[in-house]
Amino acid sequence: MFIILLRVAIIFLVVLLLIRLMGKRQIGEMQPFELVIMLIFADIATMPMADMSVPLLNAVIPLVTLVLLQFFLSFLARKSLFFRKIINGKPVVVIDPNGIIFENLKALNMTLDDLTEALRGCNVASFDEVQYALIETNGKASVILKAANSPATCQDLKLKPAETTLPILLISDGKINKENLLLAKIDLNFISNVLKKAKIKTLKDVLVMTIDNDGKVYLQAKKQSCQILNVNFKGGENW
Amino acid sequence: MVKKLIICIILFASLIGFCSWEQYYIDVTLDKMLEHISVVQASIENNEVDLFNNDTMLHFDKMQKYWESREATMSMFIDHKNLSQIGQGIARLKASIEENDYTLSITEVYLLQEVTFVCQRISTFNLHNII
Repeated sequence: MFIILLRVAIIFLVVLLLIRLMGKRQIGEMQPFELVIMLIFADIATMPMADMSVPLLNAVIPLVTLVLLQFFLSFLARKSLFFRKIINGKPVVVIDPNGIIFENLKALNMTLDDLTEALRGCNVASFDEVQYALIETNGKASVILKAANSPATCQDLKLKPAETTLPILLISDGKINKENLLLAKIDLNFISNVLKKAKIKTLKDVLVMTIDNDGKVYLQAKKQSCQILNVNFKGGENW
Repeated sequence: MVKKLIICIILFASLIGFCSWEQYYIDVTLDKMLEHISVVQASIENNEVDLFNNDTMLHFDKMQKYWESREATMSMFIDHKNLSQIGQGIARLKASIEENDYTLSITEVYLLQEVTFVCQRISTFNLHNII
């Protein structure tokens, strides 16, 4: 049993490392070849877990080979339009200003029900709201709405709002994020002053603290409500 | 990006290198094992009367020690079920030699030879094994 335990742990760590090396896209939206690799991954990884007579290397070597293949294919797809079309395919327009392009739907093996479902997934209730709809290479639908059905933007309303800011995490579950502290050029005195202002006793009591470019602080202590504070902060241009 | 590509190529080359070494190790081990088995077989055939008290046991011990020295490493590359068949064959052959049973010993040595040969055949890098 101890052997099985160790084998499972080793395979788990190897698979985790290899998936991290493959990049975030593998966790999010996958291209066809990436989906194939993930399916094979799962099968190969379970082989030595289920059968102790199978050497561990019989799983590790194929997994490493798959990751290397994935790197090469991704590289080819990035560098060459020709290979990108072969490996990934290309997005297909299924609705244009003239309406539904049924031939393209047939070529994708999609029915009108599938298309309706895909549009609903994009919060579109009716075909007449759509200017263009495309089925991407990963199978997801992208919709470009008609101008009359698009949400109004600040530009349409002739408003000039302030630019959006990017909050960074300073404290998470009582622990300081030193990297972000350096990035924002903040020292521990600043943190202490903010905590004093918010009437929080110690660092360990803090669940989360973020700060954005304008000095707006989101602060929440454990088992308490959040507080939003505005502090005098000059480091907002650092990120 | 180029750096990643170079690292990938190096990793791939290392993978090929490791697989080549593994194949060489398996081939050498099983070839040597078959040699040992042939020597034991010849010894059994030449010493029909008294298997236990002559150099048949010496050759057999040599073969057994060789297998024991290689088995652990081989278990990293080959299915343990296949390896255990060779181990069991060696044990049965030893028993038959100690019993001074010529007929059984010859049978067991042929079986051991066949099992080792099958192991070699399924581990060899060739088109039939790939397909």
